[in-house]
Amino acid sequence: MTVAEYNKSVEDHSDGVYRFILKNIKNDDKARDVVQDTYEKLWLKVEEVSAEKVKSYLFTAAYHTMIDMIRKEKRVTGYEAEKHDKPSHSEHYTGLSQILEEAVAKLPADQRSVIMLRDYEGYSYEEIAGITGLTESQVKVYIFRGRMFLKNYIGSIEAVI
Amino acid sequence: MTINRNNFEAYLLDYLEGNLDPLLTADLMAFLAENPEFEKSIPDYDTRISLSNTQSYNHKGMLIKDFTDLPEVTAGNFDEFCIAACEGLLVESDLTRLSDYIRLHPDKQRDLDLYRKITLQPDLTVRYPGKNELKKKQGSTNLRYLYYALGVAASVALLFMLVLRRPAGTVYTETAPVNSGKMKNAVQLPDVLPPHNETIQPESETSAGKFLQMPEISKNPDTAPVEETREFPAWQALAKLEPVLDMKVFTSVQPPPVTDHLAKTAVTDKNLVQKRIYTGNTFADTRIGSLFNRIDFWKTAETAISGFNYLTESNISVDRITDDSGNLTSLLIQSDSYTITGKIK
Repeated sequence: MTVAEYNKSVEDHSDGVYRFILKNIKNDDKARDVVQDTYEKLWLKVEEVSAEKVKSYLFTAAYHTMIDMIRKEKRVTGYEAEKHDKPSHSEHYTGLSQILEEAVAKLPADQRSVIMLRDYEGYSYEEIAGITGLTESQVKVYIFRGRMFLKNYIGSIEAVI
Repeated sequence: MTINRNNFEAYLLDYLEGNLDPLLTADLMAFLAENPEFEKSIPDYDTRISLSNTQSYNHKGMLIKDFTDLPEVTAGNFDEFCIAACEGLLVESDLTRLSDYIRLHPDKQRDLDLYRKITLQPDLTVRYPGKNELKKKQGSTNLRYLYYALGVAASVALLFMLVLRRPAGTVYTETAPVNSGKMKNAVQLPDVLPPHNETIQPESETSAGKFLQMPEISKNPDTAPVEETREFPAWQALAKLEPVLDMKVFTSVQPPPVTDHLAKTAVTDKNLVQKRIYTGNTFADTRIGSLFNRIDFWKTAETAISGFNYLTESNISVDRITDDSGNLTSLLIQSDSYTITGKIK
């Protein structure tokens, strides 16, 4: 990859990587740090990573950097303690997007990541498996579980409203 | 995943009976997909269940790519069909079957609508603010390599110089400093040295015309040594020096003891005195020493190591270990596969 291609990857993909990380960890400074670290890793491998695979490389590096950061800070989102079929929620909402955002925040990190990679970036199950290090079957299961939870969450909110 | 080889049969039975929770169904299917040997053993488990012919077994939900394998939409697989529809995994015929099912069960329409609503949409107004800082200028790669390569080369060269040239502790100088600041004693070798077996005539002070002024050894090393000088031919003075019989090889970290050196270079003529005067000067007082003192060797070593790591993709680190009073006691060199500790005397 040339320097021009590297700079183009900054222009093309840094927003997507940033949104993906920011949505996961909900911390602007840390999301910026992850993006910076990710591009630093890319720069170190700039001669090995092809321009065609740079997006996948960036999301893979960002995902693992984020996971490492979460593990270090022991800030894993505490969804595991919650029940899938009994989503908790607040009572005041302004729209579906807000409800959905709250529901996504309650997803376990793995489910949230694979669903965001699927919806935000349009990755295939195979590509998501490559990025996250999960098997394709796990990716499907996580997406299935995540969708079920989101649907139940929104359904319960709609019922409340 | 809660399903394993010991309990999957229980889950399988629940599934076949239509009593398995959708989430556990997904778990079961994932387990079977990853452990096909259990899939083959299932017909032997219960002859009442001819799995290969049942719709339940063929119903692998999200784990199969072709939903046309599923004979019909049921309450048990409705969610999977809905999710597959939203994921774009259903072909036209599958979508038709899903529509037919909803037509027969209108209350399910709301579920399908909810699934359609939960597709996440990125907020495109959120943009990374530091793009310009991430971008690189043309040639940065080469400069970076050059920087590290030069860093490594320079550091290695400096360290070699340090090891080879820098003695530890008090050292001697070949030329003694004098109080006046002027060097009175200059060695000038004769143009032609006498044959090796020629008798030395120490008294022939008038010969050769090239003379060496030798100062008296000062008993007090802090005072000026030169009070009286005698002149004699330089080649005679050189010939008077006896060879060092048991010369030791000293490294830079172990300089020759001053007393040893003096003892082995005895002068036969007591009137002749050695020019060498030993002082308390250290290497740091020399020009090279002062140059070294201006170099932060720890930073130099860090630069060398970071450059080495970059160029070789290694992960070597060096740490300093100090005692309670802050004195350096040892160095710790670590890599992925080894750790070396070197104590500092």
